[in-house]
Amino acid sequence: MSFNFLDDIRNFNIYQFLIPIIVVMPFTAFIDKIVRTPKDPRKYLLVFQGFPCLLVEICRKSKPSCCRKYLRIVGIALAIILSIGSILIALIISIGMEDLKQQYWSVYFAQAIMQDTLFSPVISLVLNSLCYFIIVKKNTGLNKCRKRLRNMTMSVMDENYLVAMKCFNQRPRRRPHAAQVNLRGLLIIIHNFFTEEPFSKKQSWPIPSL
Amino acid sequence: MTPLELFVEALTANSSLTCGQNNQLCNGSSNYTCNSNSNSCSGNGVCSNGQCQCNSGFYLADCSMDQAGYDRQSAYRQALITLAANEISSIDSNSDFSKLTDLLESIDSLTQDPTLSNNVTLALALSAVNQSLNIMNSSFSSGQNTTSAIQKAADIISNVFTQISVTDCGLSTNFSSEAVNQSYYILDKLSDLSLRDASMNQQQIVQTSSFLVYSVLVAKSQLANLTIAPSDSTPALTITADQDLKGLPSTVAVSYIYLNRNLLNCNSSSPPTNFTLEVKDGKTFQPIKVAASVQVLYPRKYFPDATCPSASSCERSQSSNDDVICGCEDLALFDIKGQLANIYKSSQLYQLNLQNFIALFTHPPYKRWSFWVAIGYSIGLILAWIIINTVNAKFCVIRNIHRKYIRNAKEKKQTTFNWCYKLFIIVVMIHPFSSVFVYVDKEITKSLRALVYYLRVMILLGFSAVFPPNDPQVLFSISGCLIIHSLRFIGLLGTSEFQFPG
Repeated sequence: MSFNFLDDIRNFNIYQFLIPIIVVMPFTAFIDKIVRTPKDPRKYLLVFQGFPCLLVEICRKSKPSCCRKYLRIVGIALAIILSIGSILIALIISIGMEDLKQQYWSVYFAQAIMQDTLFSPVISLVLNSLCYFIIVKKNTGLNKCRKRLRNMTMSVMDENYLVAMKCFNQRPRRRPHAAQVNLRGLLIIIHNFFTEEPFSKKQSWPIPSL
Repeated sequence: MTPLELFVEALTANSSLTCGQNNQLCNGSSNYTCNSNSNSCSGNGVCSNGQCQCNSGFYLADCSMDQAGYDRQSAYRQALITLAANEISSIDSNSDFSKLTDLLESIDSLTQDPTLSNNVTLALALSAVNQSLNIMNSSFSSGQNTTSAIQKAADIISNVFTQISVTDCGLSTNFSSEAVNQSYYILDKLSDLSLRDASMNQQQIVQTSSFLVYSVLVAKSQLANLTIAPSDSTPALTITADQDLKGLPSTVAVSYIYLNRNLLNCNSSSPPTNFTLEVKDGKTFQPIKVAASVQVLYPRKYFPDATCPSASSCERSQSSNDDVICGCEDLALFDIKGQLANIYKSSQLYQLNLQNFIALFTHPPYKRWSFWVAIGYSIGLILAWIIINTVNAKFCVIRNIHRKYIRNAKEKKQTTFNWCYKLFIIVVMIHPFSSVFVYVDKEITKSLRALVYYLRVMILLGFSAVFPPNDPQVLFSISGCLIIHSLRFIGLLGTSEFQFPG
């Protein structure tokens, strides 16, 4: 056994290095989205294609809460089945695998775990930061196109990253001045008085508190 | 009497095992054609389109063999192939190859009739061919002439293809697809073997009733304009490399395999147009990538309705003789079957069988490191659930930061955070493991996120088991060494020497 750093770096295969995470990411992202219960189910439509999308649509039209509940159960069941299946596959293969191959496998698995723990968050941080500072922050206007681009970018970004950024960028809220509210309410009352329109229950105009 | 002598005696004594002699059983070979006569299928089947559809429990093309006879001859046949395989494994690589050729010839004759062989027979035959390949590989230094042994091995592979096309056209069973993949692998190796003793530009052709393997060693400069036309009945190729050939090795091996049976559509009358073409290093026989275009010529006489392998990547035209010409942009297009076979070959998917599943319960699993990884992560998941639902249930770093903002706003203070702290929080938040403990998400509970992380690791374990690298690119040798030594120390790995690439 030898330590060949130069050889390692020279023979480094980025494809082989990244492939485990490329394979694993869609599975976990899919399960993650299923077991979530978002306030707005339309969020699913951005993520899912085909059958799950249809399922969400059908459920959304009937009973949103039922849909969420069933999707969550399906997601949990899928996660458990996939986990047990993966363990079984690993154990069955290990029965017939030759000794040298087992060694390659152990190193490969350890590297995949290290990569998942150390390398992927860094890559994720860089990509999310690029998206955030180049697209999300620069497109804050009311222009429809810009707004759409911004929303699309935010939908593909890591939600936890967005939460963290939102948390750090918050500013103390300014309460509207009391006089301004009263003035607006007063104007409405005056307007209604002259147009002789009675207040209806459905009207959502702000009524000043007396 | 030695096993070999016993084997030869059995072969000559029982003529029903081979169709080399004119015996009654050979009337039932696959070439038999029935007619409307009621006895043409021995009264045990129905004649349809010149072929007998046998009743259950009757075999051969004329349905003349009953179940007992079939079982008897199958068992005898398989025992003989096993005997031959054992004999092959005992052959010394430095000894004369005539014995190996004889044994392969015997296996060839035992597997010739597709109606008399079954999956077990074929599996045994393929295993025997694999063994002989290993012997031929190791005999390379001894300068043995392997030509006749290669031809016999190719004949056995041809029998496999014939058997599959007769019994399982369309490759509907797992066995057939595995056997075809294995056969392609063996053909590839045979092609390499045939080139080991060959000189430059010496064409090596192995031809059987099912396929043709053409191999040649050429200088890299010749690859720029190389023509391959092994026979009139196969597609002829002209490779045109328009790239800078400096990166290629000085000697290049070209391997061309044409299967003249369409295993996916055996009833088709037109010959298949697909073939595999692979370019390898002339010394190591490792595949190399060459950016080259290929012009394929399909002679009209043999390929009247030829279509190009890919409508999008190949341009179809016609020569003055009405031959179909396909100008294809990329050489890699013709390596699809090889690529698929390589994927299957390099994976461990073939280990996923019932036999290994049963062995899971008979062999102690605690001797395998993967078992302890699975157990360790499962315990980790349970511990994480306990922590999450007790001491860590309400901890949320984002909520804490938010509260700090509100508190400072009430006290009319400016809230500022160090960029280092911000970065730390963001990394902790996007990390799949740490985010489980530090953030309360309204849409998904901490317990579920822990389950998703567990799933992530288990899929990594399963994936790395199915596709372990053949030539691992170990990122840091020290980490690799440490892992191997620790696994070996606790007795979860054997003592085979670990080989680093290069």
